[in-house]
Amino acid sequence: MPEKGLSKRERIDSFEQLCLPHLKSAFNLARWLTRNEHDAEDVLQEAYLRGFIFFEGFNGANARTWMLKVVRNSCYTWLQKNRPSEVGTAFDEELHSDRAQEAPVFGRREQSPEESMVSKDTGRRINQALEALPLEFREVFILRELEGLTYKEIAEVSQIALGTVMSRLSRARDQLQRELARHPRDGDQP
Amino acid sequence: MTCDEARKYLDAYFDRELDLKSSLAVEDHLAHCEACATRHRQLIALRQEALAAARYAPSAALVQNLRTALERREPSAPGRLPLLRSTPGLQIWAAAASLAFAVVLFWRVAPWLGAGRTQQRLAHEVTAAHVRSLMADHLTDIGSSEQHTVKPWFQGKLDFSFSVRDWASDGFSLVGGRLEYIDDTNAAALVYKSGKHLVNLIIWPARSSGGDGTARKSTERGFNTYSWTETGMNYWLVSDLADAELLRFVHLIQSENRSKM
Repeated sequence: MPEKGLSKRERIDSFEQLCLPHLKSAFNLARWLTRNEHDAEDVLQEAYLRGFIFFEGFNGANARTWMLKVVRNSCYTWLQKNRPSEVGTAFDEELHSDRAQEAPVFGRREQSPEESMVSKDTGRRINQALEALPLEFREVFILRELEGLTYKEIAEVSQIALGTVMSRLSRARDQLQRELARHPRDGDQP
Repeated sequence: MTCDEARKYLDAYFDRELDLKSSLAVEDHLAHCEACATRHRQLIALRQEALAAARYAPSAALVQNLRTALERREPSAPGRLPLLRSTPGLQIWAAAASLAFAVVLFWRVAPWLGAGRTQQRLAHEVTAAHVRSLMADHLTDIGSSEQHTVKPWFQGKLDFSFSVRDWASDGFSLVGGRLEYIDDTNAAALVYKSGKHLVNLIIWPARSSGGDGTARKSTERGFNTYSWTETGMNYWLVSDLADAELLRFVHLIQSENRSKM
């Protein structure tokens, strides 16, 4: 844990030692939430600095969830400021459990020529389907499927109740299912 | 278990988040409910598809910028010494001593300001890159002992050319390659293994055409480094390998470079 009386260099080294192993996960999350590489880099810079400032308060529990929590918060702060329409579009099952209504689907982002060339057909389909998910659904799905977090860890990173994790994940999967079915692979029946 | 309940618990069951009793109940329900069993199969298929989803990685430039940002923004906070603070007499003595020390240090360091400082800064950067690479998942971007796989991997990613060789028969096995960012420039890192020790060979274009190829030695945080410039490229070797062995590697690389001239 960060000790008092360390030099600046030592504190930076201490922080880096804790955070660098999780940098890829942190960037992956930021990239999926902001859906843009440049914005993800901006958010990560912000989150990294913020994390370092709050480092003194870190109690030593799971460093990965701690770092992902800081990055997730920074993403939401950034999105709230720059793209507020993207935040809060997912319906919370606990508030609207009687509605069978589907959460709004985002427009599919146009792929850059580089991305079209590089990704295979299967990867492209799932990537586009994921990008089309509302923010809160995309978030829990990424944390569960790509980062392999437990429900409890997701609850901590996203600052939501366990029940909310479960319902959002379930709805995310439903919506992905439908989205993928709407855009079948070449040769598949729709 | 009813269909409604099973449907509610199915995701948790699928993610292995359910307790044993509930899991068994779900399994039992799946065995004789086609609708829920279908949903379960869909979850499996979706997970399979998600394996192909992008896992984005940060660029080497970003990683470097992150570190620089901390060093620049963080205000100086020298380590606190409680003993000094509570003892005024000691404080004065310590202040005088540190002033005297600083004066002596300045005169010793002064001849090295400029070129020496650059060399020191680079040694620090290169060592930091080496240490970072030792962390899990950070060692190579392309893992291969085949020079004919590693060298082409760099093409299109770097705008300079360099030779890649496996020195396994001389005791330095090629482990792979990695992109680095040193001195505000894209650089190539070649990773070698010598016994239990990992060695990073970092290469990037030199700014000036000078460089007689004399290898300079330094130690940084306990790591040994050797650096030299020849034919317009900077070479830095860094490792916890013993100095004599690392120097042997320097000579291997240098004679290979020179035999190609």
